[in-house]
Amino acid sequence: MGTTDSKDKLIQLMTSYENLVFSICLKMTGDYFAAQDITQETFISAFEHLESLTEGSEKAWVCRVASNKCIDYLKSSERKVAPTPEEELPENVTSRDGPLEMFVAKDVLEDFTNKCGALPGDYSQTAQMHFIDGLTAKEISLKTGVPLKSVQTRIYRAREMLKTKVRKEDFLS
Amino acid sequence: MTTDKNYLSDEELNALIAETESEGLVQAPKGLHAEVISRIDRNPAPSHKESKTEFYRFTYKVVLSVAAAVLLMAILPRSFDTKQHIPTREEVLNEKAAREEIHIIPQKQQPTKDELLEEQNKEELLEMLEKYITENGGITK
Repeated sequence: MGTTDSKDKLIQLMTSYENLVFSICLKMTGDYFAAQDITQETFISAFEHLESLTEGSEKAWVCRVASNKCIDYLKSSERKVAPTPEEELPENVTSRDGPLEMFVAKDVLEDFTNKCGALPGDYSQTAQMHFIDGLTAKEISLKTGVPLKSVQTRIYRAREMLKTKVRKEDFLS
Repeated sequence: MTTDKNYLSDEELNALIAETESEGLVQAPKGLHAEVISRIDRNPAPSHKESKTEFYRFTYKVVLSVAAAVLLMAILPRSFDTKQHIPTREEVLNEKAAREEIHIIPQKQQPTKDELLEEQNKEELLEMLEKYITENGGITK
């Protein structure tokens, strides 16, 4: 399969399943940025294994890859959290040996949208335009008249603030 | 659902897909297509065929290197034969012992500082006596 054919096949795959894959990732991780990264990695993995994909199995295959990557992400996130000594644990804490915690994808997205709106000053508008509306930095710069570099800086800082907020809440919960 | 974070079984995966679709799908970020294509262009992954070829090429290089090393080990000892006599351990030890013997033989004893000074004083005294005798016209009988 030539490179152009492969890319066409990939684009076709993404058009068909990107929403499903992204929703699954949001549901499993509860983290907008992690879901975005895992979705990208899923389709890159699909591109690398296009030859082994058969017609009719594509949906199950991409969802399988996405769910496995989400589980790997959750495992590595747990390892990064420092262990609490036993004497400091409250008595009624339950271990995480239970089933995977699942979210409702729409709730996660709604929560993320609210967080974007809660950002201070100009970051809020930039975050909503970039993360929710999907505009690029250049498009935001043309629309708002703000210099491109400033927009890029705001996007970067907004992303960091949102990541910190999301992960802090996850840790506290 | 599995309890120890192992991957989902087929039934669990199908249930997850069905549940996600029933809750309503969320719109993926708009730049996703472009970002994926851009990442693929930046880091083009080799195809299965290319990976195999690369592996065989690497194996071939390793085998060639090992063969060259074995050949060098066989040839080199002969090519470095300079026909010079390399002394044995016994010869070196005998030579060392012979050198030490030379130092054991006592050398002619050198006079000490005191002895030299004493001799010098004697000479001076003798000169003074001779002068006195000459000036005073010899030794009276």
